[in-house]
Amino acid sequence: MANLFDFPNLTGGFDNVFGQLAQQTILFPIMFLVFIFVVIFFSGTTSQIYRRGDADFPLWALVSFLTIDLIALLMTLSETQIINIQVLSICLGGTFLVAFWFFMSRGRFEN
Amino acid sequence: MAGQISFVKSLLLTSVFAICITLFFLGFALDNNTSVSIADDPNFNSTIEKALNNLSTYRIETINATESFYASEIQEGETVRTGGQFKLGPSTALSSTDNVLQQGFKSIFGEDSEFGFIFSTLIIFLSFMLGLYIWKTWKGGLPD
Repeated sequence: MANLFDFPNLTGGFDNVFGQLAQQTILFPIMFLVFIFVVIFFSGTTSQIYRRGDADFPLWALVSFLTIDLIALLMTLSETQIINIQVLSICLGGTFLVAFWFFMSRGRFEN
Repeated sequence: MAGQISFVKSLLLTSVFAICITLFFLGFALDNNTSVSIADDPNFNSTIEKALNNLSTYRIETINATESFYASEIQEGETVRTGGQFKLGPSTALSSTDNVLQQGFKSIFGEDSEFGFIFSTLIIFLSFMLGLYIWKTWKGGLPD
């Protein structure tokens, strides 16, 4: 019976499993990055709302984007290509926009 | 909301931050000899060069305007007649941020996207805000 995907195997070692997985489903590393972003963003803002009543959304968006920047950079280290240049440039471009939002919002949080 | 100094500070910090992050990405790719490098994307390199040029122009303009400001005297009313330091410089800070934001938009939406109107509207609004801040500061308000 033909499979939809080729399953990864351990011939190349454990670290190759993720590379083979990324080659079979190209969207998987991207979904992983989005997952990290969403977890940090929503957990941070929610806990801040519980503590202070108001959340600093630009700050948490910037923190989340910087985290996925670093994870995307780590993904570029692999020999088997896990992410491509478009994803990396989207991460970097998104960081620029969110940083702008963050710096423009500082007036609201200063006394 | 805070005044002209805060506004220009935000613009400058945006472009400085963007330049630093991009240089970090480039350094990382170079040091570790990665298979995917941000240097392969030609747009980011040119954006950072333009932003750096804008910042050095801003520095020169600010120094020139400040020196002329020191040498000026108040002839009528309580304000500087030409506007001096309040007018010169901040628009270059806006250009630097403009370049950085344009790259951010292009990397997400693509080169010739129809969503480019969002970006133009944002820049128009920032220029409008900057103009009003300059006017308010020049006619005698607090630049803070």
